[in-house]
Amino acid sequence: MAGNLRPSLAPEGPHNTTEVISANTVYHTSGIRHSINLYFVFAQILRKTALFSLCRGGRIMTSKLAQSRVRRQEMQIEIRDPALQARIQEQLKSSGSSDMEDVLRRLLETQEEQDRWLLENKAAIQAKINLGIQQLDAGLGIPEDQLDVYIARMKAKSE
Amino acid sequence: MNSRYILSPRAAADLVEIWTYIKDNAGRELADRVSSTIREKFVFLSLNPAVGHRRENLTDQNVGFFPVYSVVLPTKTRHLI
Repeated sequence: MAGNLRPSLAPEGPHNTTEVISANTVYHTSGIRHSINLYFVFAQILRKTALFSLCRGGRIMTSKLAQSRVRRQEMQIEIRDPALQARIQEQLKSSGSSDMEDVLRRLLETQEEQDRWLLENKAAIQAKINLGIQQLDAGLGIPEDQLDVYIARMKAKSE
Repeated sequence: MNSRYILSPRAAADLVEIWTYIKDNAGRELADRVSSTIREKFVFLSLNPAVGHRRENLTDQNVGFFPVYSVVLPTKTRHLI
């Protein structure tokens, strides 16, 4: 069974410990549909005993138990917007990565770091938002055409 | 000139605070450039109010969030908070 072979250095037989089946990514662009299709194949970590393929006597055998436990979940993301597709291509180029999963991982790390900061400062941010809304509701908002004067006055105060 | 957006005094104070910090640490030219870029985003958000995303784990208020540099701009329709 594809993707379920015993690692070459792993001991043969049902007493192996852990096998990790690496994720596969297929990156496909279609000029006609302007789409990027991503296929993520996640394989769960197999632990102990007969959850992996056995290679005996030159023949590859896969236990039924292994087949039942290995679940490959595919996530397909289709991007139809050419502008967004171009931005993703730019990320691929600028990061020097040919792997869409790398790009996605990096973007998620950035987003998660921002989320962490925001949540750690949640109380202060909520207070600012509430104050801002109160000011706007009270008619104290600064229209765009008055902003230059307002900002200049505040800057002068700060200098 | 018709105003495309309305800024809360709270947000204006943040804008000046950011400008002052950059001016003191990296010079006025950069401070002006960053401030200008943030204000361009105000206009962008006023023209594209749907681009902000909700953060329900952050606030119950019906506001959208949009990032510029390391700043996150909360918005409510054409109002920048």
